[in-house]
Amino acid sequence: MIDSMEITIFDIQRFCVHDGPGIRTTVFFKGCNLSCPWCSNPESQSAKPDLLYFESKCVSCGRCSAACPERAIDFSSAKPFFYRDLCTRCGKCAQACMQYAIELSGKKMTVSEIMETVRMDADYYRNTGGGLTVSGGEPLCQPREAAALLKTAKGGGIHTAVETAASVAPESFETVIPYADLFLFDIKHSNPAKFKEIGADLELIKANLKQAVQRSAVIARVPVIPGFNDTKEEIYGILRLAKECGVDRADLLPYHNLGRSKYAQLGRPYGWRETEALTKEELEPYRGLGKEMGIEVAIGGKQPHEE
Amino acid sequence: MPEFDVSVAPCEASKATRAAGEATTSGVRFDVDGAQNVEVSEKIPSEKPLLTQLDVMEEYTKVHASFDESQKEMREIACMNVLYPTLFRRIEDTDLIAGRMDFLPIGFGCVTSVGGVGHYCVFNKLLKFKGELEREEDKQRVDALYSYWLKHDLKTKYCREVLTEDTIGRFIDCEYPLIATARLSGMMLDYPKLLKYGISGLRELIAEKQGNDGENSFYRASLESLDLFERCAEHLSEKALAQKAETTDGKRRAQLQRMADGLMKIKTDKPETFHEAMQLFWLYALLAGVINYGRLDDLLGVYLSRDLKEGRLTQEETYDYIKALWTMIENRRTTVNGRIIVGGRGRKNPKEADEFLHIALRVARDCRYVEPQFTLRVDSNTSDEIWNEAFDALGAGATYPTLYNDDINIPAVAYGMRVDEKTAENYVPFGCTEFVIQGQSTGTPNICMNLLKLLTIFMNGGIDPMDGKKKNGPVPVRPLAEYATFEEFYQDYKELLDYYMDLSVDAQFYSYEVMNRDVSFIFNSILTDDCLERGKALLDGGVRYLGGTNEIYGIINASDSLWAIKDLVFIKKKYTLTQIQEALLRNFEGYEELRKALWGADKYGNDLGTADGMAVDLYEFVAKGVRERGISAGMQYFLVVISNNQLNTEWGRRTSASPDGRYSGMYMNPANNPQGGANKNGPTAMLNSLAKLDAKYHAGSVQNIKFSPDFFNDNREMIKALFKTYFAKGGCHIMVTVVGRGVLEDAVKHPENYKDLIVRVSGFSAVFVNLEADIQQELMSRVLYD
Repeated sequence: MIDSMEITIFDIQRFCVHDGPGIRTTVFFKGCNLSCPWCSNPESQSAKPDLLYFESKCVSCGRCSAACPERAIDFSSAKPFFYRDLCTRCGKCAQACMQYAIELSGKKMTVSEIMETVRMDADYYRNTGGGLTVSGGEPLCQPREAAALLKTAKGGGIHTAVETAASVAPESFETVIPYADLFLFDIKHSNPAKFKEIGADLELIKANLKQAVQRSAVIARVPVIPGFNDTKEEIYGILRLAKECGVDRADLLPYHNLGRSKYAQLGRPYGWRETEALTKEELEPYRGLGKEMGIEVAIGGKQPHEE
Repeated sequence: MPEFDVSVAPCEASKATRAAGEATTSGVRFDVDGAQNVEVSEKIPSEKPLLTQLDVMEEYTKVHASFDESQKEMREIACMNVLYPTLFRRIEDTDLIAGRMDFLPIGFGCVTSVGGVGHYCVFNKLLKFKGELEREEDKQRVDALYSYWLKHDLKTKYCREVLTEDTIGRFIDCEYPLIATARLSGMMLDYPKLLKYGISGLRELIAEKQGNDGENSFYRASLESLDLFERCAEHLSEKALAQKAETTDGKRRAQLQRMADGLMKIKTDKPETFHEAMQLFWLYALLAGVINYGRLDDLLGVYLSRDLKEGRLTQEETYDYIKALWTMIENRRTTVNGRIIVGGRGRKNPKEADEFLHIALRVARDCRYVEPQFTLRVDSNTSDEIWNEAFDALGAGATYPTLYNDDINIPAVAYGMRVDEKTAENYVPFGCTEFVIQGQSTGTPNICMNLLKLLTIFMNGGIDPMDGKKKNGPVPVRPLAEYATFEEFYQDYKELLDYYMDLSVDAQFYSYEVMNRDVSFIFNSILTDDCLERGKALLDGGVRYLGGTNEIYGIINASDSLWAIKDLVFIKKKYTLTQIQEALLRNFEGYEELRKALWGADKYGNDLGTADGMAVDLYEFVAKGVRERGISAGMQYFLVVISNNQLNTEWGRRTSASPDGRYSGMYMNPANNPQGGANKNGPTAMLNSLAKLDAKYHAGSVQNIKFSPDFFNDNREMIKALFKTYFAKGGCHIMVTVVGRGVLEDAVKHPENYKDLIVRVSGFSAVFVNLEADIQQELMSRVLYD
């Protein structure tokens, strides 16, 4: 039954080496309940398909406009303008484009279809301690679907990891715990007010984190965002919160702006005021901070032995 | 194959010189002045004055003319006596052993990469030589040579007898779907025997055999060849002493003295030190005209180990020796040869061999030459130390070592070449990847076949859309509209392939006959089983395993084309064959939607049963077809190789648009790798696809994978596991390129060609080509994000 359950995803990426141990396949769920302005996967936020437009590939032929049944593509200037509120995501413009300049991001796939791809790298998982990571978006916005996928993988002897910000109801969180060998647990701050800014609830997160620590392996993941949480005090607070909840390893992920072009493709302004990426070196001092607290701090989401 | 800096277009070059000299027989015209092989690296010019070179070539020609074919052995050695030791060059300051030689446009050899094949004349080089002369009378002397050799150059004779107007072209004429040549590439000799016996020992062996057969001219010529070897050793020894007298540098004087002494020693005796062993091996290889060197770790390891133990050598001196040898090999500039193989099963002294291997891996890391093509054989027992050293070299940007998987290759060779596994353990890759059994077999690739060109010809009623010429031989073709099923369509394409496979085996086999008529390759024969035993030269019945290889090109484009046709025409019924053919003939102009549908069809390299299944099917049809034909023809083996050099690009230029969505004139897929931009599911998917082609039907198949430097170096353990898993799944080889800055810059300029670039950042979903240029740049610099 669960094999035919449909999941809305926007990507399956194989040979991931930073999303948990070993060589992994990461399934990116579409739809997120937070709104972090620095998000590097903005196409993951809406649960609906998104239209991506790659301006550099466009030759202004006008085929997309002609193909659009909603007349949502305006060609009165050199490049098309998309009335995204009129767009029904039918995909006809993408089909009509010969330059691959329009793509629809997001599709429904069944658990068994996804597993077919996931299983293809089973040998690589076995030899590296790798497996499946569900990421997003927020996979727990589709909790039953996530659980179904994780259960199937785990049942097939594949290691499972869930990357989540976990600002969801405990009932939702509970559905995946039995099938997650590892949580990559986002902790973006320790101050409830800061969480509110991005639509998250610290109390929910803490409750879920405690559950996760009791019943699975947990690695805290801290995206270090300049202007949001990059002071020593803030990182300290985050690590302490993690420690208090029983976490003993944290990965600091330096802010990057690689998602920038995706905003343009979505016809949205880049959301974050800072655009300079952080370097790994800038995060080095925090290792010591963790050590004092008895929490192992890694930088960049890599295996400890790879560093 | 490594990536090259210089790009030369042999097809174009041959056209430019076409007017100068054409040979015709039975109506077939071909260009004798055309470049005869892909020469990418610039050769070092001869150090002899032009007139001396002319004298040597004249003398050579005179001696050649004084014999006839019935005296081929004596003619061969007499001619070689003209060339050597005269053509030895000065010892370079970096050399620690002696032996560098020049090649003239006329001479004797076994491969096209240095000199030519048999008694050869390289006509385009002779014309160039003529152009450098000043006096008219000297030019006339060259003209006389030119016309003599038009009748006597071995390869020209072969071409006269084998080439046809419409099906078989010369190397490298990209208008034809099949090209053929006569050459003896890839000989890897039984150097262990040479070192074990020494020259005097070999003499005794030969004399003993000769005792039973005093009239045998092969034995006589063999003994005379060893005389020549001795003269060359002596000559080089004198050179070393003379050069010693020119220098006051104490260290260099000692080195030259050691060289002089070593040469006098190995002139007759078997070697006792590492220096002597390397010197003997090298000088013999030079005289044999071979350009691939075999398992040097096992050959030299015991000498090295003893010298190290007894204090005759230090690690650093050894490093210098190996580096000097590397440099001498590089300087020969054979472009796609220069193989040195280390590691793997079946070595006699693995412990000592590993001492050589470790130092050689350091040299490979530091040198980063295009040659030697340094080859590491591994299996599931290869130590982590060796893996790590290999990764050090690769991570530093050397394209070597290139890795071969013994666990797969040994059983595959045993099956493919019909030998036992013990024998198969001595497989060695040469050239672009072709396997031979060291000291026991020939494996020269004298045929190249373009499967994609044949498909475009087949679909166009037997006419090549590139030039409008009919190239289907006697194979009947039907209008495309008549095909009701994919199977019928595929079957008729296979019939055209069958015809060309027939041509290929005949042309390969005949190349041996033609070579054997003229020459004995005596130096090669002496160190190839069972020539001495049988008293016969290599191609006269001497070689134990008479094998050969057939280089196939465009296989993945062809199988992707077949899949696209099956899917769109016969399963989804979206288009008809006729519509597709119309679109192909117009190079998709006005058929953009159709082209998008073709290109959008499943492609090999993505771990999909559909396209990969078609690739496996076509591969097995051709590989088994070639193999079975070789066996029927009486060869030990005739196997396809799927290698990677610039021919996929050259031939692609003269291959019209194809149903995989490839435009007319575009490059074809390299080796058995996916077409550029066709694999989009990352490296595990690509390697899974590659591993589906069963190694037992080929004699070498190259797989390439590229990484950015930071990604490679930061994720070594994962990448190592990636390779090991791929090897465990059936992968036979992998060539790793950690791309340098130039390639990265190109990737930003042409992202569409780098869809397979491996880009990974935690939690980030990225398709490389969809990112803006500045972000691509940032991602590829990757200093920040790994």
